[in-house]
Amino acid sequence: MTTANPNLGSPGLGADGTTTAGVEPARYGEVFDRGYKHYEGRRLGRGQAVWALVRYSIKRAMGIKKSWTAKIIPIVLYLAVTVIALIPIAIEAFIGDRFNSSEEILPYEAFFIMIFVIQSIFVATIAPEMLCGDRRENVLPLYFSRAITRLDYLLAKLGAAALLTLTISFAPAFVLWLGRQLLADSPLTAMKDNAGDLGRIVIAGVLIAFYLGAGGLMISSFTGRASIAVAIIVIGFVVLEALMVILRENVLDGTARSYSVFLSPAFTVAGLVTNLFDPDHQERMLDLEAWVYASGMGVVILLACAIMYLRYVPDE
Amino acid sequence: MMASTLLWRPFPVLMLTVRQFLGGRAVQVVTALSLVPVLFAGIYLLDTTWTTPREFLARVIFLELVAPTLLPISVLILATGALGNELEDRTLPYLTLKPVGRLRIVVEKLGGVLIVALPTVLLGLLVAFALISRAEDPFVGIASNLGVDQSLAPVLWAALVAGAAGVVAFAAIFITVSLYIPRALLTGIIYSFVWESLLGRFLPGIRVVSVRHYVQSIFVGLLDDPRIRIDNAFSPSVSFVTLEVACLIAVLLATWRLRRMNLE
Amino acid sequence: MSSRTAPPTLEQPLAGPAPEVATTLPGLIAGRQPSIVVDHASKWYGDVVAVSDVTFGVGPGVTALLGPNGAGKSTLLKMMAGLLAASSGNVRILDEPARGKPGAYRRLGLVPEQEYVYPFLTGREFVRLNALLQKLPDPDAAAERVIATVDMTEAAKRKLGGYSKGMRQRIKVAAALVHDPDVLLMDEPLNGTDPVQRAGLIALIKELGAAGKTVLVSSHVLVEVERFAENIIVIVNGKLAAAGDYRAIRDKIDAHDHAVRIRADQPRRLAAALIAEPSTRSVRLDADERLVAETSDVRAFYRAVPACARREGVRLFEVQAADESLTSVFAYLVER
Repeated sequence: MTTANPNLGSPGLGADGTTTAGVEPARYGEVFDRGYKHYEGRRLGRGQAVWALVRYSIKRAMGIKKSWTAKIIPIVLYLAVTVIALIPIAIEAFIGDRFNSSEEILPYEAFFIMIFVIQSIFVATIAPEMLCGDRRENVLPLYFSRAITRLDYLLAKLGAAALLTLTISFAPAFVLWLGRQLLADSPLTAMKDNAGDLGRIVIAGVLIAFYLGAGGLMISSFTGRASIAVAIIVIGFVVLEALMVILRENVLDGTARSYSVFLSPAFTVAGLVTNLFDPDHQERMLDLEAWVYASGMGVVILLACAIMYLRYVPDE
Repeated sequence: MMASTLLWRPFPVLMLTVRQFLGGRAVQVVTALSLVPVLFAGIYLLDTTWTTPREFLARVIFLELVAPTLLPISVLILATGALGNELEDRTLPYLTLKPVGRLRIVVEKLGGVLIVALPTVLLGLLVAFALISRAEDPFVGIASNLGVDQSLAPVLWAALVAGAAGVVAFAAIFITVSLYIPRALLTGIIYSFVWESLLGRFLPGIRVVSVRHYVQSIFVGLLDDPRIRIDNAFSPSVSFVTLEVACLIAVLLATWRLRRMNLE
Repeated sequence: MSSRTAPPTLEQPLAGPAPEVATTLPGLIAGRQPSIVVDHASKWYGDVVAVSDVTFGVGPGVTALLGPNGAGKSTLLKMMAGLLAASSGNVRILDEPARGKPGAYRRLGLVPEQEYVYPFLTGREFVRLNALLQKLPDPDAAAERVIATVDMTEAAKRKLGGYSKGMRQRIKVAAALVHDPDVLLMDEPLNGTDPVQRAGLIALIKELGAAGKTVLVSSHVLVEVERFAENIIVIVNGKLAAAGDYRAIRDKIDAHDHAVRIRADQPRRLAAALIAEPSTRSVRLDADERLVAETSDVRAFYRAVPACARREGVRLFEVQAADESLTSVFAYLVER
């Protein structure tokens, strides 16, 4: 808005007008729309900046304020997990009395295993949206020249990805748990009695969210094209699982055989939830203890973060 | 190099598409994918006692690995990128603001996808077959044509023909989908993993609209081996005709969409 | 280059017998045949109106499509090029509807606003691709010709991915010119160019206009437009705000009251002196002890300020138009 007539004293020169007085203005009408204004409001600090990026990333990934075609995939996935969570509650509510009601129609570990495909497609949907667009549209320099550091950027993206993934890893299982407690004769007592299950749901939900979120983001950090990241994530899941099964069945034995589950994200998660909720299970493929699977996932999370850190934070 | 210069003139959009793929990461991903059967063949060679080479190639490699997973994903990546990337990058006006028929743009784009997809997808199959047939009996293997043992040759031909039919069908369908839906690749992945795999298991009727089922039908039909079957297989001719019709409809829908759509 | 009949050129007499149809389209000099007709065209996206009932004509020569960012210029150009369908009304180029007729693109070229071009092609390959898609008999010669026109012969062998913004603008112009179109639509072609490239592009635009082509160039920079177009069309908030000769429109702006803000070491003394000037309508001091003067004759006022200051021995620190941003200039046009 500071448009100075070039024929007069311009700001900063302290001109007194003598230099130009009497000179006919060569041309009037030089208009520049600089559109720049100093911001004089309150500054909310780095934390708020990061939080703003988290919120923006979530909106972008979910297709909020975009056409319905951009929202349809997350919506379909949410619908699918909701249905899977509500059906056992409904069945237990209507016919549970006639059978042994302590028997759950869909145990938590089976529920987690069932929704894993949906969770991974969900992560393949959101993770590339978090990082790829910024690389492709060259807006990273804009971010990094602002209050946000490269580490803040990564933390914000990881936070956004994990928060979003929690809505499909923890939330549906929580709904299932809550529904079951509300069906009990005295819900409050039931909640107290089954608090252990809730704790396990929190552990599994959070671990899965960070495991999938960090892995998806790590892959996305290598390409600017969201569709390529989507492809690599899905291929990774499918091919690694097939590879694990064929290696296990035909090549490996002993300890190597037990630890080969870590090749497959699906089996790693299955191992975690199965041993967490039902330590006495007879599943031959998942013969390690829950904490081993959890540590394996932790290692993957740390590795993914380290790789992203190396990609985004230059060595100076 | 010379040939590529000559091809630009009659098929500029096709050549542009090929260049677009060769300059991007999609081809690397698809090539890596096509090597997965080779990797599996290598693992099989470590221990060949559990099944015969013929059954391993037909059942594990083609019916369980390539047809349901590798082929759809490879073709999906290329097909949704052919016009999808131009939409995403807003370069499509460079093609549509020309005195060129929309049908021709779609057909040349399809051609570009096929030129890249056919060799990359089928190459892995070929190498896996060659590897296993050599290992089975090194002398026979090397002597026979293409390095493929005679007893495995029918499996290879059936796999190549069925694979090629699948590539063409998936390519045409997903070029079209990418003109209608921004996240076409994800939609395709949900289609081939959730729709065809999960739902297909519970609702056999879905097979009628499953490209994979037609591809597998062509394979077992051409192979005609009583030990290698799939449930409810269609005859190869029915499968071919159905896929052809599907391609035709897809190309027409894409052309119509290209005429009507607003380009930002 | 072509055997097509050339459209009327600028050299044709402005007066004289009018052609069969007397056009009364805004923006069109009486008697000229319009190459581009925008007829009550609107475009909306849901509740957002991008272009609202706009009617104007563009004849041969250079015309600038002027307006602030987000005014609807790009949307209008895309509707003209047939990329977008109008929500209502219609757009015709050389008497043909702009959409659904690929054949029309033989006579139309568009330089899109979009900066991204195929990074994997060289400049030459890109221009040649456009020539091939235009089905030119000798695509290589046509490509070389326009590459030379935009002065990119040296850089044409490099990949587009490594081009600077200015180079990309020039190669895009070359691609749009390769088939020698009668109508050329350019969306902010001077964005990202350095002064030398800008001068080159402006000379090219003028040359095309003088050769009888219809060239419509969008810009949000008023001073830039002055250098190549005498005829302007101003769009503000999706509506037609002004159309016609640049000078005539500017005079209308001049005649309007303007506010000027002055910072000086003795503002009260200067205010007293300025109030005596005939060009001054009112003077007041704002909260920061800045002097805000209203004037009806800006040119005279700008001459009077330094003269008064010198006479009174006042030091001037800053003289700025309080309302002279592009937006406020357009606001005057709208209020007209």
